[in-house]
Amino acid sequence: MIIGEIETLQRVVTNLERFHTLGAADRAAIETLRVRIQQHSAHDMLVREGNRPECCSMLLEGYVCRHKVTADGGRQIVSFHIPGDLLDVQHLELERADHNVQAITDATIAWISKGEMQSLLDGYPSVRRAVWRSALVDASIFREWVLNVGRRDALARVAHMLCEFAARREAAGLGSPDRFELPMTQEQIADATGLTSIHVNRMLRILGQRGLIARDKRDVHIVNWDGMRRLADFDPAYLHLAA
Amino acid sequence: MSLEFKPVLLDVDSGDDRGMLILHDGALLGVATKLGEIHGDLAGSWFLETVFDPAIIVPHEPFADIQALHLWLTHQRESIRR
Repeated sequence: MIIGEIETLQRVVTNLERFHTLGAADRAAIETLRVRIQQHSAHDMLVREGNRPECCSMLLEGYVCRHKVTADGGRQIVSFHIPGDLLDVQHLELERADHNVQAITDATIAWISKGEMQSLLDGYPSVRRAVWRSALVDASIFREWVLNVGRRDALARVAHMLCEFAARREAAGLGSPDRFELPMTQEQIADATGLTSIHVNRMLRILGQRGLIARDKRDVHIVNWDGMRRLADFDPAYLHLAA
Repeated sequence: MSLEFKPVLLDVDSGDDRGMLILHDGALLGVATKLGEIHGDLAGSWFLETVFDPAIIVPHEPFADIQALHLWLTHQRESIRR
């Protein structure tokens, strides 16, 4: 590990502490993990479906999505990830990747061998519990996304995605939920919400016309949070932020 | 396959209010909209909103003009019936 990486792994500590209280020894164990820090460019594939990953990964900087692709090339983004997120701890237990993991912006990834990760979880029960809870919250978010794509109208889907992104950023200590830069393109939002980029553009315009958001390219200002919550049917309980 | 195109005004607040009904032998086959200024470089192209033929998967990308849409739709229907 090179000097300066303790600071970056601190982001993973901060993330895991949202899920379970960690002691000084737990934090030190994470911060001194033997990891390989790698810079990736936007669109780089980090994990491909069908691969047998030898490492687990943690997102330190930038944004990443998980997606699956139909035989004829249709892509469904199933989650977005923000700095501090564990991306694929599941490969400790599941040998084959069942989805793709791809950078949507330039991203810094900490790769950790499965053995090193297993030792961390075996040696530090509080870390194990935090990772387990983190995985359970991931599953809760997946369930909410199924509801979003399957049962909400186009306007609510896009509004919900914006609310969730803002809430998760804030919880991770990445900034205000009122103003942020969207890292994803309209095409990526479309692939996450089961819409087309044309529809996403229209929905963003309507949210602006209704005075719920203001937009300048990718800079988003949520002007009316109450209105957005109501329209999006957004109840952050599924994020288990207070856990 | 002969298609007929009938311009209509759409009741929407997204700005894309110029629509086109697409008819086949007098029956409604699909609806397209002309993309407005909010779509930047895509303004002026035609987006197929829906097709009432479950075998046709509506593309996510718009068509440069109505002729391109006509050609694509004709080809799709002929492929399905082969």
